[in-house]
Amino acid sequence: MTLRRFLIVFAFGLVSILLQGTVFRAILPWWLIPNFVVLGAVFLGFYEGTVIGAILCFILGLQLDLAGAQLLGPWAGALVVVFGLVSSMQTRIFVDSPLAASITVFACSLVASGVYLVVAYQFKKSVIEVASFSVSEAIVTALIAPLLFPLLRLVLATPETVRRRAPIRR
Amino acid sequence: MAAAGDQRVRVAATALGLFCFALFLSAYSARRPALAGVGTTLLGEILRPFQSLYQTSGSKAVGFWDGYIDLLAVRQENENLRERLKTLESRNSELLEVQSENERLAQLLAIKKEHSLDGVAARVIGYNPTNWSQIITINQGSSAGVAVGSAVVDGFGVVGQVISVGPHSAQVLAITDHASGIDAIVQGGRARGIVEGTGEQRCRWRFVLVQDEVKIGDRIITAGLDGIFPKGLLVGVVTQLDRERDGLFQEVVVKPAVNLLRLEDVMVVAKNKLSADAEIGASVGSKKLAAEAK
Repeated sequence: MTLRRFLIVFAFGLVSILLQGTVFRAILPWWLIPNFVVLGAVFLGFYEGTVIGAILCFILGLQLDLAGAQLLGPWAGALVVVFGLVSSMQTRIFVDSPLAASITVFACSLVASGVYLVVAYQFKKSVIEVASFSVSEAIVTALIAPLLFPLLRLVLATPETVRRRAPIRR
Repeated sequence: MAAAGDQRVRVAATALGLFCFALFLSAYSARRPALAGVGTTLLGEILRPFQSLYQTSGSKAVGFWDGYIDLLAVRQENENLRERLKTLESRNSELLEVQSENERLAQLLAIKKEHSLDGVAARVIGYNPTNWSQIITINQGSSAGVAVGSAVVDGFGVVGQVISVGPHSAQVLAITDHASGIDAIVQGGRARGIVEGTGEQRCRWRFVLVQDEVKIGDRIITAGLDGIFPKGLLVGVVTQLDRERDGLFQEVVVKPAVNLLRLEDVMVVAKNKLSADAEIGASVGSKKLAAEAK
């Protein structure tokens, strides 16, 4: 079961990278491209607040690092921080509300970019020059979050994780 | 309740441990870039078939949508004519695509002849998924002779350099990436400096001495002494100039000659010839310096 989940999350990461890096980049301006991987990490924080969820987030981040081809670790660290934040607050946020989902994803996207910036800056000072991208990315990612969460629930969540959150919705 | 508390502690401890591991990994990969290269190559090889498929089928899909789906709504009596029109449009679209490709390849060939370059033609199949770096994926790798450090050009000028190579794909660091730096000179002048990326679609030409003569509209070309880029390739055009700054250097903004957002065909320059050029260039440069010193 864990291996299956690992493979699903790995495939989700690959599809996200393909969409962000090839498909959308060819048809949309750069400021309209969302970060699906951050969205996945937030979703895992909500629905898989376990040790396995933390490892899955790390793997998602590592995939993003590998796609960047320069440093391994900054995105992995950033997504683990996002996961830690969301999983610690998961029972206090009504994720089924589109507004709550959007605000959470917006904040988490900024946090992820912030952590990435701080970690990457230690090794590549010039990364600070492109930090302004993070705001538009956070806005676009937040806007699509309410649309994609139901889809992610079908793909990434297991019946067990959905059941675990069930009492909160009542 | 206690079990839930334990679970939270376990998750927090795991997240903290993974974050520390990520920091360690960052430090380790910063010192050993080859480590990132290995993983990137592997991921690139997994993604390459899908990226290539998208690149080849994307334009056809758009053509299908425009040419076929719209036709479903027309009246019955016009169907034959519209079918014919569709066929002709599709053929025309294909011909236009071939013509456009022909023009791009002709430009590549021209730059290849003009600078006597040896290299491999490649197609751009993807870009970096985030905006934090400007990295391009091409569909040729080590099996076609592409090597790390090879220069990449298109019909208009310099695109960047190869930073990671897989068997059938390679990653190119674009000149607009903030980590990129190219030794460059002004065409027909003596000013020299390093063209650095800004992360946006423009570059900065740094370390240009205040007394050097530079004007807006000047063409910046590669100096050819870095062993990566052959001499004389167009890097970009000066668009902004700030000579009023205190200090030794002036601030120069350069617009790249290449539109990095609309790249399709590029050429990866073979490294062996460049190394020889760089040696000759360095030797000529040192002789010039020696002569100037005398």
